[in-house]
Amino acid sequence: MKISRKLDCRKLQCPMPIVKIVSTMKDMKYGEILEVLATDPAFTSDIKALAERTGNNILEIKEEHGEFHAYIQKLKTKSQS
Amino acid sequence: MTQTLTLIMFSGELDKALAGFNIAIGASAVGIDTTIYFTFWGLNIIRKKGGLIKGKSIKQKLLNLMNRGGSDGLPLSRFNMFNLGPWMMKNIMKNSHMPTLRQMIALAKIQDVKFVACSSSLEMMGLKKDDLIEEVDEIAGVATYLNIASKSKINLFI
Repeated sequence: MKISRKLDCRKLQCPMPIVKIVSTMKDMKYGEILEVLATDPAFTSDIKALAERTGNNILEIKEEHGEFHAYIQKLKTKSQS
Repeated sequence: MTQTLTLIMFSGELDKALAGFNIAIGASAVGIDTTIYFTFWGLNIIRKKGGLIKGKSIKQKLLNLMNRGGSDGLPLSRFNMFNLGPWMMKNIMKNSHMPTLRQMIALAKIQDVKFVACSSSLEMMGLKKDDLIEEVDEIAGVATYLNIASKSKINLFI
């Protein structure tokens, strides 16, 4: 898996991780992968909902030492023209 | 068709304002067109801080003396304890890396959240557009609200 960008959202509370992910993904090309680190307990649920809304692909979500790592791939969809 | 969210901000308390802006920021981040309609005590959130006591009549001035407004000076809906509550809450928020209400207002604006102030509430409190923060887009009435709300799937009253 080739990661194009990394985003550190640790210690940030809802809705800041979502806001940062959306603004970072705006600058990314289709097919690129973003790695996000977060500690917000709502993160897993929120990122799944976000991906469903925006039509991006979540490759993996894992938890290590209380931190979440998520890998999202930007896909070409109607909602993000 | 893009989705829209309409939020009526009726309350002027810090906790309720935070909840409202949290939803507005989340929604606008994921591409939902968001409008916040500020009415009654909610106007305190978008009022400029300080300045002269506003109002035309003595009664309006009295109302505004008790109801100064400004996003920094909002009370809590519970456990206000003569403003000790908000002070504590802001401190806790700062320590847990949460943005302040003022920062959330600015962020909402960056994400194109539309701010509408209710004309009749403004009139009642003797306020003008100049008494409100720059982020406010327009002053409108119930017809404007209904027009936006009828197209919205999500409609909240806070």
